[in-house]
Amino acid sequence: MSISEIPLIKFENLTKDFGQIRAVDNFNLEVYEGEIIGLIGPNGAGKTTAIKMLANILTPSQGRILVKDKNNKLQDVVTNPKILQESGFLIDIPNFYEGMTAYELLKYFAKLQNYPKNMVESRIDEVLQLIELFEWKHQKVKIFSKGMKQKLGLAQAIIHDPQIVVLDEPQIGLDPKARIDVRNILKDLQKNGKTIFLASHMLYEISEVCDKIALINLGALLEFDKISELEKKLPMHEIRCTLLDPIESKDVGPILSMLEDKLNPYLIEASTYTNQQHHILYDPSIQGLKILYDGKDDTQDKILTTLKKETDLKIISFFTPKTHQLERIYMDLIKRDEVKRRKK
Amino acid sequence: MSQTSITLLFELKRHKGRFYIFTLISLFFITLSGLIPNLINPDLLPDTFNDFASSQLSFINFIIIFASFFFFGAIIAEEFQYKTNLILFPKINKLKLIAGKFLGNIILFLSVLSIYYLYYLILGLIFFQQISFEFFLSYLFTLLYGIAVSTFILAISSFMRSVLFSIIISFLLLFV
Ligand SMILES: Nc1ncnc2c1ncn2[C@@H]1O[C@H](COP(=O)(O)OP(=O)(O)OP(=O)(O)O)[C@@H](O)[C@H]1O
Ligand SMILES: [Mg+2]
Repeated sequence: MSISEIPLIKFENLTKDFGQIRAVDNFNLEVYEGEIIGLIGPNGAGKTTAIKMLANILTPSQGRILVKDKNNKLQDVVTNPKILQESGFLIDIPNFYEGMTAYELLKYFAKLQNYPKNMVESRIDEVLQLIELFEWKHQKVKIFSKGMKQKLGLAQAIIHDPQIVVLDEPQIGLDPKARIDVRNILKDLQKNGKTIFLASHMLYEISEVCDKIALINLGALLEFDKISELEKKLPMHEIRCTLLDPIESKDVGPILSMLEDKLNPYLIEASTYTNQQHHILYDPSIQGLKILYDGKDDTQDKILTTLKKETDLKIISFFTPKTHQLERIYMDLIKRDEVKRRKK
Repeated sequence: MSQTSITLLFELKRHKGRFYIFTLISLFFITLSGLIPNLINPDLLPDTFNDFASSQLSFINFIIIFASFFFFGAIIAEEFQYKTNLILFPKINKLKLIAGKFLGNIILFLSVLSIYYLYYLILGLIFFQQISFEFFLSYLFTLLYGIAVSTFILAISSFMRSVLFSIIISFLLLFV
């Protein structure tokens, strides 16, 4: 095995039980150097629990987590916790000693993690500037807002410039600009060769920064792949078709049922995957149609041709909305998993 | 520097407020009960320094018990109650963290007691121009007693996940 084939982090049959609850269920995953992995899944899926085990705050009930050391040997984080010195963690909502200032806390954390003494001061300034908290350097955390604490949480995770950065919902409570800032910080970290493991509910953020997605439900890993690969597995695809003229509300019903008739061969049983009853919807806010189709390669063309030839709708644009890709993957895979579990 | 000593220094900085408060309380008490009355009416002064000291030092027990709850009752429980452990535990070995916090607080705590004794020592020199061997012995025992009480409270608080609970339980165990 060559060096690059050895994963940096390896979850091996990881399981965690809290009494009767199985929070993480036989979880297997390999993360390679330089990757950004997005961990997504419903509330209570076990994301935080898995991350706590990686941070050695919780001990696995079964299985183990291995991290690669400098000699390219995999070390168990439980028996060899020193291996985590090259990692930084932000877990859940961060809480700090409230009476201390941002500077005092960061200095303490940097020293605890052996950051070179002569560089600590400049590193603190650098990180505080990065998250735009520099003006608050000497203020007590007590007076920080929720989002500011969250930013400081990110700062403490990267203060010692670790190789592995593990973040549990880093963007929660952040304003839109700060969210974009965090996205850019993550991209910069990756450029500098860091490996990032990111749990979040912000699917758009995840789709922007992550190389691969790990989807978990009820503790079990459902899928682990690139978004583009996951998309291929989707049975349901959406096309947006915006129109030059709005459809008047009295005409919406008849037009939609006419379209359903004409496009019928290309549509899928929408109700299996979403709550909606119809395959075609008219959305006045985008002045266009949302069409759920079977996702086959040539179907898009056929739908477009049919619309042009057999209706008098004036089409401006006809596209698959990229931003909702991951959302659809998420909904579909979770739903399928639930159906499967119910059958069992 | 070891993680324990880094934590110790951090803890000194973090809890200097407690140190100031308890030092102020001690100084205030001694000034009121040991200094002012004897300045106003020197006839009240006992005959020997030992009599003077033993009549005054009982207040130190109150300081020891009361201050040690504040210094040691929360050391472990606060990490869980306020979830600061999620930030700290990945960075530091738990035992080293507790050792550093305990040692930091013990230094502050014993300093409060020492300042208390120092004040009496000064009063002794002013009023009696002498001090006694028993006084030093009493100081030594007070330090040992202080260490014993704080260790006890730390041990109790290690079973608790709530700061208030661990303070109440150790209070009950000490007095009931
Ligand atoms: N300390 C604990 N004791 C008992 N059960 C727990 C504990 N911590 C977590 N759980 C349970 O484990 C499961 C997974 O929780 P976890 O916090 O890992 O979910 P999550 O994926 O992070 O969810 P969210 O998206 O809401 O943050 C939940 O059912 C939760 O109730
Ligand atoms: Mg969580």
